Amino acid sequence: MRTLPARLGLLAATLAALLPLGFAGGAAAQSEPAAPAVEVRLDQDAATAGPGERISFESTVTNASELARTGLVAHLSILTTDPDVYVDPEDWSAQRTQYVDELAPGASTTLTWDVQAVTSGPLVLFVSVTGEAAGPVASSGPLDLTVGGQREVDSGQVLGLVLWTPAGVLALLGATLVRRRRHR
Amino acid sequence: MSEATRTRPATTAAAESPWLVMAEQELRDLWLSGRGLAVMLAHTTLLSITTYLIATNQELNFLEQREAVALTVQVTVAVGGLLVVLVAADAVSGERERGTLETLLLTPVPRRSLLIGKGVAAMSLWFGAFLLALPYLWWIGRDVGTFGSAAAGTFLAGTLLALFLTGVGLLVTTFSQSNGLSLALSFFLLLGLYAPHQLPAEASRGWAGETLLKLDPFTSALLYLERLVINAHTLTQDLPLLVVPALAAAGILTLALALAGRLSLLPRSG
Amino acid sequence: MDVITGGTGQVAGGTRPQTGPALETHGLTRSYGARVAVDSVELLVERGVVLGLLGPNGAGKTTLIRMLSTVLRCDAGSFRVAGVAHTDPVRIRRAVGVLPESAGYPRGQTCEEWLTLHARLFGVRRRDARALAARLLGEVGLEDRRRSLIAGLSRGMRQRLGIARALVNDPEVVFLDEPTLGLDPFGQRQVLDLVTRIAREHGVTVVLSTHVLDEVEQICDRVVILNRGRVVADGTMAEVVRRAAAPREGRLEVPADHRARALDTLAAHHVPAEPGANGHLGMVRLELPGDVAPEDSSAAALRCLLDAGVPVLGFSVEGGRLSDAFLRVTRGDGDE
Repeated sequence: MRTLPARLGLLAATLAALLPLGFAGGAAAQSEPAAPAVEVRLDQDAATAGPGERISFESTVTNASELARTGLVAHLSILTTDPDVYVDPEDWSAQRTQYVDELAPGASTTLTWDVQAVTSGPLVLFVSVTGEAAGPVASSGPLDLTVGGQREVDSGQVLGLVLWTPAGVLALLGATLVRRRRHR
Repeated sequence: MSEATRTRPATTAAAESPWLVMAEQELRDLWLSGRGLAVMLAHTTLLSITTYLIATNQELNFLEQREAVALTVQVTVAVGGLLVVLVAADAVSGERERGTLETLLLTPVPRRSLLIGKGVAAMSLWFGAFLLALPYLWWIGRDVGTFGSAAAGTFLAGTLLALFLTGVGLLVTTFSQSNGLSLALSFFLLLGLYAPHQLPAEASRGWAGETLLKLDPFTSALLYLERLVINAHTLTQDLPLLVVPALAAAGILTLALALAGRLSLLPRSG
Repeated sequence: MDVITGGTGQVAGGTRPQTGPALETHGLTRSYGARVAVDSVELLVERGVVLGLLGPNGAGKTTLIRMLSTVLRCDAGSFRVAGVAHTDPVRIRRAVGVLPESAGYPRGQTCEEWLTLHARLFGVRRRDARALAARLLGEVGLEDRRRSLIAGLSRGMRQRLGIARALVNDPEVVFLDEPTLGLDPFGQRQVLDLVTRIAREHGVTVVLSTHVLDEVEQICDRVVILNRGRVVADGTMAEVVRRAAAPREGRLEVPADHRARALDTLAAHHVPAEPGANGHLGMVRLELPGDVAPEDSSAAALRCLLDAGVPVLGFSVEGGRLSDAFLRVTRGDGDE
């Protein structure tokens, strides 16, 4: 059951990350002078977390060109290298896109990203920035995130709990109704 | 009839608080009639199904253990809240429709006491729902040490929400023309208050979204419980989140009791 | 305004102090939107009376009782119940017992439980309340249904239980709003007997609202007739009938060969008369005026016949009942 969605998820996440790069490469080759570079750097390159924990990191976007840049869009991508792990980036962070209104030549801005570790496994997070449709895309280096083993509910002896509790209430209800019937 | 039997019965103002007498009778009506236990049976059945699926079904077992505890907490708070608001919403309009309100209004008991007694009975359903959720919370969270904090937090936040919903129900039922209207209105208010918590996170951005979430006692209380259970925060770490539910509960109960004097046989009349 | 005082069949109330009238209203008015349900009602009812409150459907009887028992507020006017002003509703509630019209009953409670609850709500201690409940159930003939759920009681039993509930606070004034509504003749008889007994044994003032005139004639000392929210008749039964000037019918039986002479004689004395329509050749029907005591008008008619030498074989007076007066003062009004 889990294999197909997991693989689809991996595929989707990978495509989401790779497509802009490929498209950007093509765009760069076609355009006359390639747009001046924007650089993206993360404040950490590795992190560990337990399932359910939240982690926070920052990306610094720098305008390395001599022209002011406006309308920059930064996007966080989350993917896994394990084909058996399903990643839906939406579950990890509700805000995966941020906007930079204006960046003067040589200026930098810092963007903060919050994610919650939903699934255990090896994950890669990176931030990519572009300024316009079909424009070049700059990506940060990867943040290698290792999410520890997931604690799942032990299904042993669950039947005792799920049967006996309602049964107890049912017995009480029965006794109450019998008592009530005596008053008829 | 003899003189002895004609003498007025022994009455004393200080003998019993009228609200306590009302509460006792309402509790008897609710629990000894089997109505309370029947809804508790439905509650435990729902918890059993959820727990069984969490424990045995692969897809649901995908939930991390703390999230499974959080789900149980949410189900308990939602079911408890629903039961409380429905019983509170029946308190006056139900009596009015069954023709039993007039005899209560003919007693010298302050109308506020009638409402308090009925509110206590409504609250008892929350306490019942909470108590019955404890074994499930213990079983699901026993390996991650969340039981104590989850139980205490659920009791705290859930009780505030239940008090708030009791106030909502009592206020609506006092002025409703019919019991159906009272129940429907209270139910939709409950859904309306629960809805912001279900909004996508994107919707909570901006001042409007943030204000809505901050003012919604449900969202605040459920966020408190989420942080307590999933993020393993301490009981006191996010207490400010319970300020809104506490203020909302105090406010609406005060309003309901302040307007109790306008409780009449015929709504909008008197 | 008429002063209604205790009549025959009343036993003065028990040991409680009895000062002032049981009921006193001045300009009592209540409207529902544009409709005036009770219109400037003036009443003065002395203690110990069983008062019949009559009126067609929608006459304002229930609204009047609800105002007097402080369940509804009045729009205008003032009243006192058992000497307590309407501005002190809690004290009034302590002094009155009410069987509301179409009262509902908590089906899931036992008779004892319900009475005990109401006694406790009147401030009676739990143990005393239980003893009181048992005693009252005995009084209304439900001692063997003490532990029965109210849901299992017949309508008549429920009404008797309701009357017991109206007595938990040992009231000075008891309002019974349509207590026999929906009961079979046996149930009606039981409830009326109970009301009579309560009035006698408890020495309370009873206000019996009904539109069953027989009930009023059977057990009430006084009667107030309401129509369209106004008091249209007020007094003892005889006074109400007389004031309503309801005509009576006299039935005269004479030898068949004397009937023509009898008719002529009555016509000469201005007594409206006509031959009886039941085929009996000696029957004569005559109309007696309602504003004269029936014994006087009958005597006058008989005297003129005897003076004229008409042999009278039999004479009876019909009509002049409360129902005639009721129909006359209400002119057949009502909701239904």
